[in-house]
Amino acid sequence: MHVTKEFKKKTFLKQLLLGLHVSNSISNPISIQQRKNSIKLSADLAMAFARGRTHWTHALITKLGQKEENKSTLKGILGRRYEILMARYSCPLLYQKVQRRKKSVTSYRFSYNAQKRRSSALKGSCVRVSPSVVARNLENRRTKVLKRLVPGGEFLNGSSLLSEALDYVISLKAQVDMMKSLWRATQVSSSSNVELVPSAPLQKKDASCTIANSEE
Amino acid sequence: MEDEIQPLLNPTTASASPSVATSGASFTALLGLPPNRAVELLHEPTFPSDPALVDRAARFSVFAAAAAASSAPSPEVSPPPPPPETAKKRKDGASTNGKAKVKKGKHAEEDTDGENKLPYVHVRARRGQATDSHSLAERARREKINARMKLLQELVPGCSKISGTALVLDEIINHVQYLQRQVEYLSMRLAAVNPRIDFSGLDTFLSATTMECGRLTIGNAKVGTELDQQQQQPVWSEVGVSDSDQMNSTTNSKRPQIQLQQNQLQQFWHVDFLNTQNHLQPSVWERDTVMGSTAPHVQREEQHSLVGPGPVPLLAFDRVNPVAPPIQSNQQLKMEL
Repeated sequence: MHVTKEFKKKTFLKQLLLGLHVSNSISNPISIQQRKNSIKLSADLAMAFARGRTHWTHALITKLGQKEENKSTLKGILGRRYEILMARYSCPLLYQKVQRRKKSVTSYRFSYNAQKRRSSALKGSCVRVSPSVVARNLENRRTKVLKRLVPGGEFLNGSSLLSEALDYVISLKAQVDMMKSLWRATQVSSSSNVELVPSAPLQKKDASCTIANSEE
Repeated sequence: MEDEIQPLLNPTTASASPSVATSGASFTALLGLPPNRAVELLHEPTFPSDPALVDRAARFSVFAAAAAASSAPSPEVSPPPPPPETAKKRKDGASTNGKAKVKKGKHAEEDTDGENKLPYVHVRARRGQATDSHSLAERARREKINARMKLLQELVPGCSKISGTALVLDEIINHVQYLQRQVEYLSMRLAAVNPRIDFSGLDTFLSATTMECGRLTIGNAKVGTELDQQQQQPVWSEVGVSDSDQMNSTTNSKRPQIQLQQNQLQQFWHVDFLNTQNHLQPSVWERDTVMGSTAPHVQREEQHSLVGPGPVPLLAFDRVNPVAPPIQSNQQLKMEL
């Protein structure tokens, strides 16, 4: 475990930086929004790349690859796999199927709610629904939400959806940890750098120690 | 990518067979749960045989003997394509129930010849339950789902106390949304911090770890014409030096401070990083020849670093400025992140 997680972290970071390089070289992002988006994009792609072959990674990469502006970053990170993946997953039919399914889902929910409203209006009191039905409905609703959240989850069922969600949660956690440490590292270096230059050795030592203490 | 992950995953699985990264194996690899515990989660407590195989068997137990082999591998998680497996269900004495007590629980048997043999899953009907194939299949499927839910419950904090599928799903959804929002937030913060998204200091760190270099130049792959102002801070480079015991360079008054910073940084980075690094010689750190005279050289390095991903290192390795004593000048270096 230790080895694999560590390996993933390294790969993740490498890919992240690569992506950042590429995205930065292409256009000079002006606004903070753009910067944030490019960072996020690189991070997501790096995570998906580092994870390897799973449903959600493929789905995520495909989804991100649909947009035009992300293609260069994708190319940078994925390298030669980019063409393979794009060729395999770029069929428009799949995308249309997704759209159609989404529509059917929403329409189903809408009709279900309408039905409930109608029946309650008729009876004038609370609708008698058996608890198992209630539980099942709740579960179905939650499953649909989960399907929306996990990339590529719309096509998965039941246990596979859960396993993909599990995998996704793990990678998200790893991603958050990595970005946090990245953030902390930049903080440390920038603050310690400021201390470093003008003052005397003793002071520097104190400053660095306090920084260490505050961080920990 | 998959090739790299596969050998790493294999030694971590509990079973002797280099099994398919079954969900149990891969998740334990990811989760860090001891395989035994994950297996316990995944299975009935009463089975005898190899955990990973039983996991595999349980997963495939819903499939009829004939048709399933093709569909089985498709949603699978990990690198090595699973060996073609079929699971066979056998109803045990369905017809002759009468007084015969039916054993509880499932167990799996395995052909011990190797991974290519087909394991058969004998699913026995429990006492007082229907024994037709549909309900068996359904039961197996339900147990699969429950097993996954248990794993998810372990993962999401605060979920183990909740009972009931819907609420647990709720928690999981909240957790996923929370993590996604955190990613956005962190990326916003990172964007706010850096005027340019380059993290060039980290380049050295990474290349140090991945390339096992003896000498490297710190490439400023920065867009724009501000190369003059940007110089590398050797602190970053020294993050790559693990344990800081190999400072054999000229002992300077500046060194101790750098070492202190390095210790801080060591705390901040995950320990994983530092443990895997190769010991680099600190005398290696050379300031990049940023000053105007070598601008074209830097440009070339930029192009190098941007050309290809994968094996191409982020930095170009170069023998420029072999021994310029940059150490005294470190103080003036400011890192531009």
